[in-house]
Amino acid sequence: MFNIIAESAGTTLSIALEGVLDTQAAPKLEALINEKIADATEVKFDFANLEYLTSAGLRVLLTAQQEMDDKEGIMSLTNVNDEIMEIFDMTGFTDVLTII
Amino acid sequence: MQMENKKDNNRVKRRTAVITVGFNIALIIATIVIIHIRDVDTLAPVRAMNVGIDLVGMIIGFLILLFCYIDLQRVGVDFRYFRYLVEATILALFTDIGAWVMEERQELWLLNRIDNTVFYMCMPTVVIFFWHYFTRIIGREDKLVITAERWFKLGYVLEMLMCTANFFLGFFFSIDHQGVYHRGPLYPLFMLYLLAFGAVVVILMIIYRNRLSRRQIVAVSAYIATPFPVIFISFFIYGLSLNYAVCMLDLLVMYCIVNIEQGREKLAVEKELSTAASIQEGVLPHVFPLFPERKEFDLHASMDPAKEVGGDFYDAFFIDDDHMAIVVADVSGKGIPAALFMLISRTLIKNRTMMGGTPAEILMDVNPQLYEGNQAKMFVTVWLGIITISTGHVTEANAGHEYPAIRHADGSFELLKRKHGLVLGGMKKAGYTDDEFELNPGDTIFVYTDGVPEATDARGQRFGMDRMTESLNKKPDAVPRELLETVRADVDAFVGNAPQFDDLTMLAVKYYGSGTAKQS
Repeated sequence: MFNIIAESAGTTLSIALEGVLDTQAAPKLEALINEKIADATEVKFDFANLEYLTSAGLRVLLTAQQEMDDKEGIMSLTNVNDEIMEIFDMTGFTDVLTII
Repeated sequence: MQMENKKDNNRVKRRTAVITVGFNIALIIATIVIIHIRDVDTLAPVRAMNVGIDLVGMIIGFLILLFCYIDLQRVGVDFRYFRYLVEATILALFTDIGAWVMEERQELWLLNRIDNTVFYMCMPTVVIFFWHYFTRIIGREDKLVITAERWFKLGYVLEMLMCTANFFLGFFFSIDHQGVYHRGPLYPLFMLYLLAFGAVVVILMIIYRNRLSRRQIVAVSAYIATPFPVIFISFFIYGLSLNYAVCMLDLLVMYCIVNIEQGREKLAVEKELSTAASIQEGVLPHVFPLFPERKEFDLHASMDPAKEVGGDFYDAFFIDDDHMAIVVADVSGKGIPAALFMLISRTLIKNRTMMGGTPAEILMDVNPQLYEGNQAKMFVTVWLGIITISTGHVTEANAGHEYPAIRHADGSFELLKRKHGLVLGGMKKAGYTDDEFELNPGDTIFVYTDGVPEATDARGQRFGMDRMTESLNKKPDAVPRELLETVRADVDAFVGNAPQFDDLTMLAVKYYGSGTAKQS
């Protein structure tokens, strides 16, 4: 159901997500971010194949955003679908995240 | 939904029990039959002793299974592979008895050969079950463990194939037509599997010693080590094969040490969880009607946690005689951490609300307090509304929470989509805005958490907002209690048996106006 494809190029970390980012999937993403974010100055999320996310997924994104803000790095999200966009609107995340 | 999960669990438990009891009763009957094949007096003393010890081993095995079964019922601890291990050892003991009883019985040579083949097959089977049990203690994620498992599985298949071929070719052992057992030339090859296994387990145990308690190391070492001297001794004394009886004793020790240890931990955690759940339940107002003396409105709310404790909450309280505050909130995360964060959030919001101010001001003040020292990086979505009871005027602010649904008298429920602020506790600085709307007599407002739209069925489909508003509009004029029951029933029907991972909270207020008496 849920899949992560992560690639590091220099200090840029690219993460493509697939499926549904929910309570069960979120710990996997969290573990990956914890492991790799320390060396990254830029994190790029590709949401093209992410269908949906729940509050557990939001929490992981927020943690990553805070961490990048703290070290003045860049974090961006691309290809966010309408359903997820609505969740970002509803939860106020559109003010915090950089969605391209 | 939780009840159905329990029902499902019970069904599995019952099936496990029936299979276990059936298999073991069959074994006991077979043992009685097989012992009567031969007058035990005609057995050589060393063999008779061996049969007796095997029997004791079997009885110990049955007792261990019985205790495992009781644990499963009472604590819910399922030592599946441990039970399989005991079961395979019982079978090995049974076939060992069979082999000695049928030894040198000409007319039973075929049955004897079948019995011995099963006996030989028990060894790799015991090994594989022990492997599963052992790796569930040390963890199954490591590359080393995964590689070892691949080899053991391959070895298992080879051993089983060879045992089957041996039935006809007799290279491990043979039973001739006089019913006499002969060890074959490839017997050491058969035992190589056991030796390799023992060596690998010892190596893994040394590498991952930090993951095992001292008692677990003792129990596993005993299990690996004790059969070897026994095998060594029986090499010289024909008629003695006590290794499985010794294994059974080791299993008994393991059961006592390892399982009781684990079970006790789980029991303690469960007790704490249920205490936490009752604390949590206690802080949510839950005796309805909450304000029986107020005839201007009717209010009902419910919170169903997905686990024992949840992160959702609702609240309703009077700030002064004319202003009632309503809160519906959802903490990210589950279990004890979410429950703690929920208790803090509820207290901060309520206290700050009682001090006065608009919902946006209240959320703005609470946010940095929740952000501060938020180690677990949790956040909470909050809908906060203050209703002026005399006029029906509502001021609301939304911190990343779901859109409430509102229904004006004679109309249907619609989502009230207003500007949202960020969830509370997520960022140090966050802004919130107040919105206003009017409740006229007969109007109802419905506030909920994402547990409703995100309830998921077995195919992964979500209940969604459309089904929710549809459900609300089945009986739009219903009193809050009935409205909540309708939605709940529709959600339950939609998800069926699929397990749910999110708390589900709903709150509805129907406004009658200050002049009108409450209808029933």
